[in-house]
Amino acid sequence: MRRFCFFICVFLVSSLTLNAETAQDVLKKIEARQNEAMDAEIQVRITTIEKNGTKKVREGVIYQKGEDKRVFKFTSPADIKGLSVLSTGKDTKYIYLPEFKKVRRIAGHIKNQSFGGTDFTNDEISSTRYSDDYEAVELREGPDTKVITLKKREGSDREYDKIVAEVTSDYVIKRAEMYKNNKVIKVLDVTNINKHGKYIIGEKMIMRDLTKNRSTEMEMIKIEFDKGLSDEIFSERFLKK
Amino acid sequence: MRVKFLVCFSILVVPQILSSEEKLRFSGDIRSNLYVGLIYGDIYNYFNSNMVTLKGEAKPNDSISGGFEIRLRNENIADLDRLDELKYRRYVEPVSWQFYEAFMQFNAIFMKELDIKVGKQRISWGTADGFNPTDNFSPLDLEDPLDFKNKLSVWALSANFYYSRFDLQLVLQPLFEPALLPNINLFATESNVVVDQYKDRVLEPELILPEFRIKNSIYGARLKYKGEIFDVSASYFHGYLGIPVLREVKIETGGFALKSITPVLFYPTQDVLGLDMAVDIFDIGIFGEMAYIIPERVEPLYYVNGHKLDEQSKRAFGINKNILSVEDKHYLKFAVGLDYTFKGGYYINVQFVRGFFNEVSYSSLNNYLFAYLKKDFFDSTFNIQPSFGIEFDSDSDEKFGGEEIRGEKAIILSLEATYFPFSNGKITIGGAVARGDRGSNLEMFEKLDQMYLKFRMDF
Repeated sequence: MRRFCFFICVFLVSSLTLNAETAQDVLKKIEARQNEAMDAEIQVRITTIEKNGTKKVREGVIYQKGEDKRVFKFTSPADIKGLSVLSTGKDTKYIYLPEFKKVRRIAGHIKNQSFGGTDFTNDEISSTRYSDDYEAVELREGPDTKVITLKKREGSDREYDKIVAEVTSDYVIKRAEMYKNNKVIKVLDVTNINKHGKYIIGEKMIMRDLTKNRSTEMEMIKIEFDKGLSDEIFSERFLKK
Repeated sequence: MRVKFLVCFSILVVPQILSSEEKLRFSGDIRSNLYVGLIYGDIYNYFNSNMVTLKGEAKPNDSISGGFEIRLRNENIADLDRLDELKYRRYVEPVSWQFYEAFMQFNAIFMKELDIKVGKQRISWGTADGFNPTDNFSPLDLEDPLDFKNKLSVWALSANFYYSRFDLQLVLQPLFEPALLPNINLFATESNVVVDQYKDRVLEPELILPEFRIKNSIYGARLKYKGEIFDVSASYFHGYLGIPVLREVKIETGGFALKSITPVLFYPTQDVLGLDMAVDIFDIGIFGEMAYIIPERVEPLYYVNGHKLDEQSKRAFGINKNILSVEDKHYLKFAVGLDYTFKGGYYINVQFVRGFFNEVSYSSLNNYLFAYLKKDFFDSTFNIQPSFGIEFDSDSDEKFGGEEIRGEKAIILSLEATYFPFSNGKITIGGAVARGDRGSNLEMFEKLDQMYLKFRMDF
C-alpha cells in the first residue's frame, strides 16, 4: 500500500511537471498569438505626444503575412506620405523614399532608430518575433495575467537588455517594460483588447519613452484578417506602386 | 493659354476629385528659397525662387494607375535694363512651368510578373548616395549647381519584370532630353585653345541636339538580384553624354581680320556598363556603384568662312596639335561608401568618388571624398548636418592638350540646420563655401559661396 501511494505521488508530480507552463512556452504562445492569422491589413493612426503636450498625427497601413513579412506604408501627413518599410526577414529590410523614387536596403544600424519620428523603433515596427533575440527566463502567474521576463541573448543587437511583459490569459501582451542597464526606459501599454472573428488583438498601444518623457499612441482604425494577401505585397514592386 | 488650361483643369478635374477621392488623390508642396551670395558681385548677390508643386495620383483599379507632378515656379526679377520691359509681366514677374512627371502604369500586363510604365518619369538607377554614375537616363537638373543630386524626368517606356529574387528593367527613351545647366558658366564646356585665345570675339555658342530619329533612341537594361544580406545589379545603358561638348569652331574673317568665333556644341554618344551593390556588414550599410564608360571620340573641327581647316592652316590659329573634346579611352567612374548610426543618433555617411558629374573623359577624372553627419535634437524637431567634400590629386592628371596640372586640391564645406515647427513644415538655414587650387574641379564652386534660407510646406 505504501509502495502504491509512492507511485501515485510520483505519477502526479511528474504529470504536473509535464503540464506546467514554462516561461519559454508562454513566449512561444505570445508569438503564435501575434502571428496566428494568415495575414492582416491594418490601418493605423499614430499620435506622438511631446512632453509639452504637442501632438503629431501620422496614419499608415500595415500589411502582415506570417512571421516575417511586413510592410508599413505611411498615408499621411503629406511630407512623409508614401514612405514605406518592407521587412521580409530578420535582416532583410528595405525603405522606399518617394521623393527620390528609390528603394534602399536598410542596414542593421538603423534597426534601433526611431520609426518615422515615433517612439517605436524600426525593429519594433517590422518584426513580431522575440525568441531569436530573447530568452524567456522567468514566469510569474497572477489571477488573470502572466508575467514573463525576457533576457537578451548573447550576441543580439537588440536595444533592450531585458523585457518584462504582462500577458493576458489569451497570450496577448498587455504591458511591457523595456530595460536598459537595469533601468526601465520604455513602457508599452496595450488596451482595447478585443476579438475580431477568431483572433484577439489589442487595438490601442501606447509606447512611453521614459528617458525623453514623451509617448506614441498607435490606434488601429480598421483591421482585416485573412484577406488572402498576395506575396507580391511584400516586395519592392509594391513599395514603388 | 495657361488661364484656359487652369479653367479646364478646374472644371474637369476638381469635381472628379470631390466625387472619388479614393481614386484620385492630390498632394504637393510650397517652397520659398532665398540665396545670398557671400562674394559681392561674383555670380549673384541675391537669388530668390518660389515654387508650388502639385502631385496627383489616379488609380481606377489595380491594373492601372497614373501620376503627375506639375511645378509652377517664380524666380526673382531678371536684370531689367530697358524701360519697355517694365510693361511686361513676364519680365517683372517671371514665371515658368515644369511638367516633372506624367505617367501611366499598367500592372501585371500580359503576364502577372510584368509592369509597364509609360510617360514622363524619373528613372532612378544605382545604390550610391547622390553620386550615381550608372544613373544616366534622367538628365541633371543643375539650376542649383550645389544641389547636383537633382534630376529631371524623361519620356520613356519602362518594362519591369519581377521574378523571384530577380528584377529586370528594360527602358526605351525615344527622345533625347538635355540636362538643365546652371544659368552661370560653371563648366566652360566650349573651352578650347582657339576659343580661349580670342575670347573677346567669341559669340554665343550654338548647340546641336541629337536628331529625333529611331536610331538615336536611348535604351538600357538593369538586372537586380536581391539576396538575404546583399543586393547586386548589373546594367547597360546606351545614350548620350549628360552635358554638351565642343564639336566645331566656326571662324569668320573679313580680309585678314578675325571677325568672330562661334563654338558649336553637341552631345556625343556613350555606352555604360554598370554594376552596383548594397550590403549590410556588422550593421554598417555598405554600398558601391561603378560605371565602365565607352565614350565616343570627339575631335573638334575648325571652319573658316565655311571651309574646313586643314592641318597646316590650323597652325596659323595656334592649333599645334589635335586637342580632343572627348578621348576614346574607356574609363571607370565609381562611388563606394558606407553609412552608420552611432549611439546617440549620430548618422554618418562617407563616400569615395572617382569622377564627378561634369568629368566626361579619362583625363578629366579626379578623386573625391564626401561625407556628412546628421544629428536630430529636441525630439526630431531640429537637426544639423555639417558636410564636406575634398578633391584630391588624381592619377590621370593630364589635362586636355597635354598641359599637366599636378597636386590640385579643393574643398567644399557646408553646414545646414533644419527646424520642423509642425507637421508638414520645415525651415532650413545653411551655407556653403568652396576653395580650390587652379585647375581643380571643385574650384568652380568658389563662385557660389552662399548662405540660404529655405521654407517648405507639404500638403
